[in-house]
Amino acid sequence: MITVGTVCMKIAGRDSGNVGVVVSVEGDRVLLDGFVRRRLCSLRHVEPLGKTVKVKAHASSVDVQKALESLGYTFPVVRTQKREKGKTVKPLPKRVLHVQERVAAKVASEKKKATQKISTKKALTKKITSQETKQ
Amino acid sequence: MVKPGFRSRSQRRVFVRLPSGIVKLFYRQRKPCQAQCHMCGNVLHGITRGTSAALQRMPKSAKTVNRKYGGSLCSQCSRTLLVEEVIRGGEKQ
Repeated sequence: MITVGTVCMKIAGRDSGNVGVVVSVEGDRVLLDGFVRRRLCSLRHVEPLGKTVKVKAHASSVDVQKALESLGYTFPVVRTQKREKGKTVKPLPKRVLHVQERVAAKVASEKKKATQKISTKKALTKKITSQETKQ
Repeated sequence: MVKPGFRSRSQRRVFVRLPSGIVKLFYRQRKPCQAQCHMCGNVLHGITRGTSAALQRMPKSAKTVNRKYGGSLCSQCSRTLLVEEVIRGGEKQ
């Protein structure tokens, strides 16, 4: 017998497998609330679990959820959220990385050459100045 | 001569009348068979049947049923399974 406060499981629809509590009985339909969407359900779509909870008629969903949590039921696990687009950065392909490495090596070698040239120029100028001073 | 792969019947054959008026034979990918319930074997309602390219263009809600065991069990079998769970000891979510 389904009365106000009986704990039921929905066995049809997108809330199937979720647990709720009967908040009111209207003919062959019951108002279910808890870890399901608060709505009228046919008795054929509801399976009583054999447990009852002390709940007033037309109780709020917060009270019903608290009563269900005291019995040990938890909110149904929500599917993992979709990952946000554009935030994840894909690693560059190997061929691109090889090219980047080669370009970086080339730039580094050119810089080295340039610094060597400057150092030789400085050494030459130093030599010349020292010779001039001696004379 | 056609491609050797087209000589088998793995591809669907479609006769298409071109704008020039010539009727040509085209080879199209076959649709997969209809989804069936794992328990009773009946055809599942609401599960779309199409090539992978066509399915990629569709939203998930248009392809499957938003229910526990939706897409693998029919509504009757999913109901019986849930009731069995309840009988076995009211399995928690």
